[in-house]
Amino acid sequence: MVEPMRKLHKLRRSIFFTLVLLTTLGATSLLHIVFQKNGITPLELTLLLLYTILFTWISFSFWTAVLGFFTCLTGCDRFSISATAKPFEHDSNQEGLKKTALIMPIYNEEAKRVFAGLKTMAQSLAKTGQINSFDIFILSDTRDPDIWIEEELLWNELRHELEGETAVYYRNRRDNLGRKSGNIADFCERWGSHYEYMIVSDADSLMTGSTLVQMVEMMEHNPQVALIQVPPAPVNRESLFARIQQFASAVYGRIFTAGLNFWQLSESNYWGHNAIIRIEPFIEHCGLPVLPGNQPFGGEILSHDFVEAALLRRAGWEVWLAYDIAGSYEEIPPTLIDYAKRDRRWCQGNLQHLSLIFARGLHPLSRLHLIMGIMSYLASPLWLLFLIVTGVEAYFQSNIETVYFFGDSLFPVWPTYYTVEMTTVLAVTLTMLFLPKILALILVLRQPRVLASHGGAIKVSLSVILESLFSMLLAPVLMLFQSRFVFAIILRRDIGWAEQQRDDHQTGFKEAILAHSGHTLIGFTAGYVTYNYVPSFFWWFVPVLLGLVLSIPLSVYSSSTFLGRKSKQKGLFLIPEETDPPELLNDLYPELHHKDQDGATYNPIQPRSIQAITNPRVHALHTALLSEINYSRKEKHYLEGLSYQYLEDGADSLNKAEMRALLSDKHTLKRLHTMIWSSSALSLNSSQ
Amino acid sequence: MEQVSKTSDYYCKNCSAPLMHTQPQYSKSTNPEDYQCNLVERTKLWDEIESIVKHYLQSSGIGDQFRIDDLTQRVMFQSKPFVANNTEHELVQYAIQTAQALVLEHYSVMCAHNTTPGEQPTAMQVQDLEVWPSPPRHYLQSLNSIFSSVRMAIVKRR
Repeated sequence: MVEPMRKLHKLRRSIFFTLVLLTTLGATSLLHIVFQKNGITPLELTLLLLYTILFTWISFSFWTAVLGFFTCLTGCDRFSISATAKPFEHDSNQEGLKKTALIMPIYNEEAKRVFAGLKTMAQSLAKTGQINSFDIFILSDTRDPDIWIEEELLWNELRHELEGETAVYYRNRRDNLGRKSGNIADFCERWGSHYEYMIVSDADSLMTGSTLVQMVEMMEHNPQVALIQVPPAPVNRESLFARIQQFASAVYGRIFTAGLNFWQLSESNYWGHNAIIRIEPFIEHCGLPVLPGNQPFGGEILSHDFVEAALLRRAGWEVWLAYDIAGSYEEIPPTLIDYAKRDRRWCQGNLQHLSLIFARGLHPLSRLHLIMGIMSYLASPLWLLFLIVTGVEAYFQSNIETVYFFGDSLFPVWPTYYTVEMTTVLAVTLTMLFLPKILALILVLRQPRVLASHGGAIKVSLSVILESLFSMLLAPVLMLFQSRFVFAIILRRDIGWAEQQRDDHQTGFKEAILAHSGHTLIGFTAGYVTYNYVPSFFWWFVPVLLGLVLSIPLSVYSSSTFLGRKSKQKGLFLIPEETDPPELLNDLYPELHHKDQDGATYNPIQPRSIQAITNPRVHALHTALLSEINYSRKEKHYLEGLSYQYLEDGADSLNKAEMRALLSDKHTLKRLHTMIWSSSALSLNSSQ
Repeated sequence: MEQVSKTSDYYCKNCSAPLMHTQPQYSKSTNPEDYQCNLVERTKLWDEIESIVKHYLQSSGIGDQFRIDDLTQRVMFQSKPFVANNTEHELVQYAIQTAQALVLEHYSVMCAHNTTPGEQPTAMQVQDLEVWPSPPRHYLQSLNSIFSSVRMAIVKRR
């Protein structure tokens, strides 16, 4: 790194950390003054400690937003990574880019959405004239046999459609060793050396062709950079819950990412998708070890992205966040319950990083990224503890009788009131939580085009107020969800939730009661206890109680697509992608509703896995894609047994794992296919 | 099932199956034009098989009607040696297998595209993430053992 850049890094981080430190010191000092009137009790010391940790956390977020606000206010950050490559022009006669693999690791995802997304991205890439520089890889770890076969059929269709433009490759791993990171590692080991870069895309990711090209150009201009993360904007959802989240991300997200870039610069982070990676250093430095011990802290590294960014940085490579690059999208969970299910997975992955904070040789900022990831989830049980301890402290305080005369003194000692200090502590905390939202709103109001895309000044302001109220109600519910996840993970207990559903759907009351009855009960109990025993605390506690008590209707009604569409009609929570959808998103919709081309052979009643056995086309395509496996004699007997079980007891007698095993061996499959066709031919003949 | 590789100078006039002189079930006319299978029902079976093969190839989506007809004839021709001395089941099975092989060949050629650009094995370098320095590691181990003790206590209580 050159000297001026080194100085810039130091200066920016000094500014940021000084601000965080001073704010935290100021707020905790105020609380300390209040507590020390009669000496600090152990309970007060606990409160002070918790407040310091939590306030530091808020302070980080606050100053990131404030610095991001000023960055956006001045137009742009001239030290951003995007400033190194000029914006992509459609008709530029630029030389061919270095070969890049657009990879999409998938695992039991909705195949139709996956391939529709890939097709629209490829079409957008074709418009840039640079599609020849890209190859597409669908890296399937799918275990579900029906989805597996569906993926193969859709791959064949996509490959056919893009023939002559770009290569589309598909492979399904026999086992999903190392999960997503193992899937990508498998790609790197087998085909990685053919490519200079890989752009990692998630099943619900979308990136415009010009963004993909710009990502490659940024890498070409910066040979010292190993990874560039482009923040994805959440889009395409219609439920009220998701639309509010999309709006929050569109309005507030920009200042946060600009702020992150301000103080992180070349020591940024990787979010797992919508990022470009230089393959050679990735292969050399990002092989993830299996951590010693059992889960949750040992075993395979679940949240690989933070660790990979840290390893690249450890090896001296730069990692950047291209906060100002548009045209990168993702889809978010449509309901509160699905959001919590995703959080459950992420929570475990982040908590596992506890054992990596002190890993040898990591850059201090990489350690901070790991801590920030952990704190995203650990903050919830800490807030919960803080509220409980505050309630207990308030109870003790309310039972202390004021003594005016001490000893033989005839002069009363008037009690000292700390209302000003306490109000200041509260005001500061609330300001730090809500000011970033106001700053983001100011930024929108200043830009006429952006303002129009959010529905105008009144609609966007009203949306911010409603979003703040919604997030206030949501916060205690998420706090309890995340606290439960943290404890369950530490105690190695299974929450027992089904897979997260990605597409829009309404949460039923039954599902909501199952998920939130505990929250409601806690809300009522805490309300009853505080109202009766600490009435002075009750009214302060109402915003938290309200969210918990209303959690069931909140979860049900926020999942409604009807309310989501209604709010859109009313001009609330509008995002630019809704008011003026980019071509990429417009193209996706017809693709999702595109009819199967193989209408002649497609039987919607027959599952795809059965078609792979009986339908000549599906069978041949699937068999051609299978690789040769050397089975042991025992395994061969097992497979033969499965094929006879299929013939005699029907497909329903096989579970998904057995069906997958049957579909994995081309020889067994071919034999079974012949047997089925021969016997049906003979039965046809004998019946005539 | 092995393919019959016997050659013959005589063919059944109904189904064109190659016939063996030595086999008693065939007529012993000196005129080859009179030769026919004794198993008359095989003719009917032959038609059935042809229609099944055609249906199979149509379902396989490997081409237009012209190609399907052509491939059907190929399959039927390759199955001829089986007519004479195999059971019905074997005959049907062979025809299906032949059609299956043709379809599979078509898809294998198409999917060969999927295996390019060719694998070039490059091993990912597994990194050392050993915790350092030792005091925090020791601390984490202690923390882990505290969590384990808490967990055990809760489990025991249950």
